[in-house]
Amino acid sequence: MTGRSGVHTHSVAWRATAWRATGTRTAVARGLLLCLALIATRPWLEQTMWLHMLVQMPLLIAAGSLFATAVRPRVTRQPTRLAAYNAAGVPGLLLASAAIAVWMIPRALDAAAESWPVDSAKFAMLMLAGLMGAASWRQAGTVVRLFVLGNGVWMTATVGVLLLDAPNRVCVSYGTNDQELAGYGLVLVSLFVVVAALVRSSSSPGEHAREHAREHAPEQAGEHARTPTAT
Amino acid sequence: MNWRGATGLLVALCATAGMVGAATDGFRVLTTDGARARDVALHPVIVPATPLLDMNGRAVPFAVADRVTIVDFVYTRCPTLCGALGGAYQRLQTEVVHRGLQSRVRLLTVSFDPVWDTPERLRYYAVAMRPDSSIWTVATLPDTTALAPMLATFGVRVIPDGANGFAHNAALHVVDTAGRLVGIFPVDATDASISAAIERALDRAIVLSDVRAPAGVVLPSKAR
Repeated sequence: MTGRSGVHTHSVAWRATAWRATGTRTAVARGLLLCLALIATRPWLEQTMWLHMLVQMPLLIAAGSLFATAVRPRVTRQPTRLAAYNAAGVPGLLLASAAIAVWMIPRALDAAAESWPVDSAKFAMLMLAGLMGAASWRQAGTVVRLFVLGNGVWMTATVGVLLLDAPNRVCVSYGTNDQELAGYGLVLVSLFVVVAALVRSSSSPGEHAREHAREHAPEQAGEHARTPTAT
Repeated sequence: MNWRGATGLLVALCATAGMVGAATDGFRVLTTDGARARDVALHPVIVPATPLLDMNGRAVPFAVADRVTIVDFVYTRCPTLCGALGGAYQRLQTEVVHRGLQSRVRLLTVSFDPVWDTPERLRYYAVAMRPDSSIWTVATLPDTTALAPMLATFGVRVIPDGANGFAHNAALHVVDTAGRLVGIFPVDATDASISAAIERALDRAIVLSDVRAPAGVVLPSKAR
């Protein structure tokens, strides 16, 4: 408790903690809002295959990833516990991609569109995938990130091409035209991700360094702020 | 990697296998149709009582006691998949005659659009398909009351396609002499799938009717 005064006196650390606290609260609020919006628009979005696969599902993953900022401080403060089981973020990223891949299976997509208990499972799994994926992404090194990105893009594009190649409807809940749109959409999304990743890594080499510094600054500052009270 | 890292990875791998396995019925099916076909093959379902009218407006049964019935579902205005199904049924009819199975296999085409497909309109379909009335019955429902339970039992999903028609899945369904749905053989627009479905449906029908076949009937060798 006496440590609080120490933080107050250390202006840099205070600003960093405050920024993180408000940032976390805003992110969680946005995630919740997004989730509620997706629940409200569920009948409309799930009526069309491409809206279901290319709008609702990515937004659920995004909503989950917004919650990742909330678990961040706890994870970074206890690196030996949870993070040790998630070595280099590999198990977390594997689980997240599996949870996303499962909902691309036509049968799962049909079941989600037809029954709300299955759809609740989809909502929960995709949001967890976003949360786990985002938390693990920070722990992952370049090689793991490249592997996950490449694999995800390949998987998405393959599902898209399979949808375009199918002689018939693969989902009983959706028509053929709808399936074709979803197929083109998945291929376009994978292309977009590749281009975005290339642009991001090539155009601003300083961006990563800055981000890295920003991520680690509060942690170090917090460490610094605590030391005077300990001594 | 320490033991914690190894444990984490192992748990993630098991969970991945578990999730994909659960979603695909143990790595067996990817589609709703595939899952339904597997379900029915393992656990036959009794077909609910469904009133049917043939093209002359006479009541016809879904299943009969002396022959195995192969059922398909169409709507006669259909410009796409039903054409393939109709072709498949014409081939089935030829096969039944060719193999001498008239006393053991019966063909039934049911319309899932009773509002448009009245018995009178079925006659136009019959003009195009030329069913042999001793083998192939074309039927519709008197109204829509029994439609939903029938379609649910057979795993047929019918959704409006926005152009005044329907999108639907197609298959050959085998109903045994006790009125149980025992096999679903999905059909898509490709010739290969149609040929495979015809062979498998006929094989299943022959095996089932064999139980009731009178002694001394010699089965065609190709079919066994």
